[in-house]
Amino acid sequence: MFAAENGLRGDPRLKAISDALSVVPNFPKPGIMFQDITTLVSNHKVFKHTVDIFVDRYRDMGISVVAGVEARGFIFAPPIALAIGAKFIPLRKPGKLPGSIQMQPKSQFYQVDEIMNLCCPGEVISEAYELEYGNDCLEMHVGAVEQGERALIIDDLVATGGTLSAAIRLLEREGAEVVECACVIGLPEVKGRRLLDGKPLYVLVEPRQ
Amino acid sequence: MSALKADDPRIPAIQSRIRVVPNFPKPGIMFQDITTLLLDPKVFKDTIDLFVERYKSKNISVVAGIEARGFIFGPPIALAIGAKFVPLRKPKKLPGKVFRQEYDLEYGSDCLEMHVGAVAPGECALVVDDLIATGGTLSAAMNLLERAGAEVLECACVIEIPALKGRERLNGKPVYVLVDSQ
Repeated sequence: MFAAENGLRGDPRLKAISDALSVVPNFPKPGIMFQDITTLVSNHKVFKHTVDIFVDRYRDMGISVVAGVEARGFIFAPPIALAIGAKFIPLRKPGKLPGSIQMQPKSQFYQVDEIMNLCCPGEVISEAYELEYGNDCLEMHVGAVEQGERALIIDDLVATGGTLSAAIRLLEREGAEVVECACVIGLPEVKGRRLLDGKPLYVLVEPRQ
Repeated sequence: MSALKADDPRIPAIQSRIRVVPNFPKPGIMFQDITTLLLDPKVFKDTIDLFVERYKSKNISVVAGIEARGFIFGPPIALAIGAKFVPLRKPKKLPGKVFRQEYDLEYGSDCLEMHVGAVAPGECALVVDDLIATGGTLSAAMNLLERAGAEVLECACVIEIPALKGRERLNGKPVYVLVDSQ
């Protein structure tokens, strides 16, 4: 659901956030109108508005975990976590979390937790998700969340929802309850949808034209 | 520089929250893992507060964070001190025109990029990353900012590996560090 339909209709901060985005045509490949958040985080006032809107929404929901998707989710999630007193968990590309086995060629993946020794510090679990062509993988440390913790997942943008779905699965495998997924930008695929894989989806703005 | 903070009561908890992972990413390396620090909201907040207290009155208008762990510490500092956040990224991640700076690795080289126009000449900048090792990445980051005309006031890291002498690669630019590696 978009913020404007959920209590923030007419909020001038939403327009400021939308205006602060940049659009870069044909990046990373022809036909894609890339939504660039760097101009947003380069504007202190608007970056603060963005974080404030999320913090106001989540501060009283009993959330103890904020998970951010690498890499742009790392920009938005930690300030939210700090403001609501939650832990921050990075969800990372394969091989980046210490303790993870380095992934082999991108087209292959394997379940890291089937291979890692349970006593190994930094044990990692892995979820694959589909790209337009092929697969990619998201990883999380075992033991980062405790059973029953209420979690929020943050990324800069949601398109097909593939990455967020993998993130939801990682947190649920470790026993967390995913309360909501939240993004700054939501592509047309999610317009009109309140849920992603049965979890509420909250988005601030549509793509800039 | 860590000796100056030895008396701050928040430092021991920060030190104890860093997990050492042996033989990652390759045999012989004792990896300094900050993810366990991020799991403790109070200690994560204390870490940010230590940097904010140091920098809030220094007229810094740019906090540049190095991908990816610099993205975790940089934005909260930027937001607290009223500065813009500028991501310094691996190649081909930033759309549009970029400055590009190569730097040496133990084997081979890597590259860091910054948007053209992200900083204006004369701006005062802070560079943030989780850790300083050889200083190669921080040195590249400083180059990018200076090429755009900014003045780098300082580099700020949670952890330093003193044995790798990263400070010597920074052309006299100061580095502020909270703890040494274990």
